[in-house]
Amino acid sequence: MTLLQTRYRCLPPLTGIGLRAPHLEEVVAGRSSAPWVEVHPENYMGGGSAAAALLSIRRDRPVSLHGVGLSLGSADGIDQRHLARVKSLMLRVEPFLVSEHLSWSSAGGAYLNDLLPLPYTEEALRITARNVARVQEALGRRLLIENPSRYLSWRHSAMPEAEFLAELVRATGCGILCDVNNLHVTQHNCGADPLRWLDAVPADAVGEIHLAGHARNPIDGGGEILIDDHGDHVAEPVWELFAEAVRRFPHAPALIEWDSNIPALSVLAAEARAADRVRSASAIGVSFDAQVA
Amino acid sequence: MLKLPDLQNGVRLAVLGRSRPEIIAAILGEEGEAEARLRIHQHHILTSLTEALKANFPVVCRVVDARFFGYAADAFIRLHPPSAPCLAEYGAEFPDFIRAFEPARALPYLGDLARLEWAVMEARNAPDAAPIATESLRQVAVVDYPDLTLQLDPSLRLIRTLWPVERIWAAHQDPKPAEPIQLGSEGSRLIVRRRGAEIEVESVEPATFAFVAALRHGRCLAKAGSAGLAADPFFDMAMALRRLLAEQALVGFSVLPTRNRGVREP
Repeated sequence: MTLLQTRYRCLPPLTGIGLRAPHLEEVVAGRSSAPWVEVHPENYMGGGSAAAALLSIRRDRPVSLHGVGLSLGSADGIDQRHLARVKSLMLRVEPFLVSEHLSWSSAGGAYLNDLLPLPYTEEALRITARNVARVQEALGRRLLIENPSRYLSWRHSAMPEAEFLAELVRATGCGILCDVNNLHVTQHNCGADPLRWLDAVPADAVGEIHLAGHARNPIDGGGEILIDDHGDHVAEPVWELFAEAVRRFPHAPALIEWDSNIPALSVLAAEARAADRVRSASAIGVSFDAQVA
Repeated sequence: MLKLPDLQNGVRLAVLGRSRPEIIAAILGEEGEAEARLRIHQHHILTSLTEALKANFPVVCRVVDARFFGYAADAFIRLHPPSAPCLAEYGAEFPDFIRAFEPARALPYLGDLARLEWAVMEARNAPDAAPIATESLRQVAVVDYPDLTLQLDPSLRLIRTLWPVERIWAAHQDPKPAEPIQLGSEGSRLIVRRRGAEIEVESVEPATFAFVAALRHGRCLAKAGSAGLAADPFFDMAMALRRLLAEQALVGFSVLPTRNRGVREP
């Protein structure tokens, strides 16, 4: 109990769920106990029913906006039209968190719809910091930047990801979204050390934690690669990383993401409760098996 | 060392199908492994964009079957990748592409069907706008009526087609109408709109179509009426206007002093 009191200045944050189209109606109808939800702003930018549904959900619970389209690492800079649309939605939704990814998606006028990996170089840091600063200035908000799942490494990367993120925080005042599934996937695919990552990022800057499942695929030439498809339960090693993360970032709320093979809303709710139990166990200093409980 | 703009443009070209050896060389691992790793991104990009096109053109996809659609989508994506992140708005060039797509030649109506689906998508994503009430038009002086311009519901789209694509489209909605579709039957003029959350596709007379099209182009009432009369000498503009009002298709109006009228009411 003493540990609980020392680790939290208030109640530990509850775990939210990533809200996707198949569950929209159910949540609008009030049939969800999720304490907060997170959505991709790109799915709510038109008029019509989707945006109206989101605003009605916002009346009952906090909403987080998790962008996938700003392409913060693009050498071409930020798409001003898209940024204006994010801002317009943000002003209507009044999210409690706004986040994006440490990656790039656009080049030469094409939006490639993937979170493509940056080389961690001084040049990429300068470009990303300039883009993040512009977005934060336009939105009037601090952005949380998420570590991506990586499938390849660039030969000319000159620093570890955690150091790149720490420099980005220093340069722009942005925060960090720590995705523990992505840490695990990247560790498997590219050999990075997730515990070192957790120790190296500035703990005060971490404002949210993501949890999700991944797939294991064979790769051409033999071996296995993990794919961050958000299509399954949170894997056991990811729960272990989560326990490590909540010990370091006790005030960052966690979120369950599920984007392919999307199950019933109750399955997501159960996964979120499992995360809450891991967090409570971590707070009072006992180890806890999320799967069994 | 690859500069970031060159790396990003190289990856763009590589995932869209061009050979970029300098990108493969910049990826850690031997050549075959580096290629396989880049292919993970390429696969995700092509499949997720194909899914986005399927979502925006679901009836075209059902008409040609998912495998053929995937084949066409793959070719389309390489030529026309999206230019912006809102994938609900991806595929503006797809109707023209599929019309000219050689392997789809046997289905000449596909282009128009895709145009209808694009209009449906645009209607779905159009901003909301409150309709004007009939009474509000009473404040317009009779003498100003010819110069009246009317703003149409922003979700309204007009489609002129040589094929009965609205019936093909309707047959793939739920609940389906049971009537058989004669591909040889006459083409149609369609008005697509969103009302509430529902999409309406209505086939209208040539004169009504010409009238509404002129209004949509910002023509004043006098010119829109002339367009209707040019299509049908018995066109009843008052009735057409009442119908637009009753169907809540008008969201604003203004009287522009477009010409200097010799006589004004005192």
